[in-house]
Amino acid sequence: MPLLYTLFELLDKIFPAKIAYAHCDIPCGIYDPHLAQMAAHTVIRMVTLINELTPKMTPDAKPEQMHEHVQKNPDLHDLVWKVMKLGSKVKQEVNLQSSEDLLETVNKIAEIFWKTKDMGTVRYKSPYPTARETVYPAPKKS
Amino acid sequence: MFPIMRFKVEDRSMEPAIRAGDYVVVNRLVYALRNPSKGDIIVLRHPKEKKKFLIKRISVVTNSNEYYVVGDNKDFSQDSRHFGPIKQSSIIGKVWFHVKS
Repeated sequence: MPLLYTLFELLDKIFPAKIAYAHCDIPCGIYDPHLAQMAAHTVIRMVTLINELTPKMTPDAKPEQMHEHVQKNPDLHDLVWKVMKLGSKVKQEVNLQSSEDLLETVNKIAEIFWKTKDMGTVRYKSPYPTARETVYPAPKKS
Repeated sequence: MFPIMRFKVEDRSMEPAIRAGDYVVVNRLVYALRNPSKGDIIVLRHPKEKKKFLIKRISVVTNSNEYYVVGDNKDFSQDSRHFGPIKQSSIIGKVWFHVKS
């Protein structure tokens, strides 16, 4: 890290610099309500769990269940690994192919995710500017 | 009025010129000597939230001495395309130099 930057950081500890925002609340128009819904569900879940907590209880980890998911979906391990690698790659390079590979890998994980929830999935072109095929949950075909 | 101010930049709308986390040092006296001009990177007060500072580049200077400011990284920036032109009184000063993280 450059020396000058370190000096500025030190100076910040004594006289904090004001913040200048470049201001990007919602980048590129890629958003839908599911993140907010999930965040709200998370809060409800956490509040419920905290309320149920007694000092002797341990967190609700289920390694057996995770093991079962991997056994039923042998690709899962590899897909997660790929997402990690692609996630790093798209941060390092401006590479459309890697970005599309990342979406496709996440799509495959989404299919497995909804399968473990006993739901079907459909693939639609996303309504975002990216307009790429995206996996959505759907009623299971009987 | 202190002639020099230090700001830390948040967000990415001035990338690649200035990245999130960089510091900028702003000269407040430059515009006492000359008018702001196209291409200058400036720190300004947010036209709607007066306590908030923004960092932008001047893209157009109008005949009535108003300034259109935009972020270099246009997809990631909220600027004069949303809040319209700004007046010189909103400008804090010109970015004199910046310190990369």
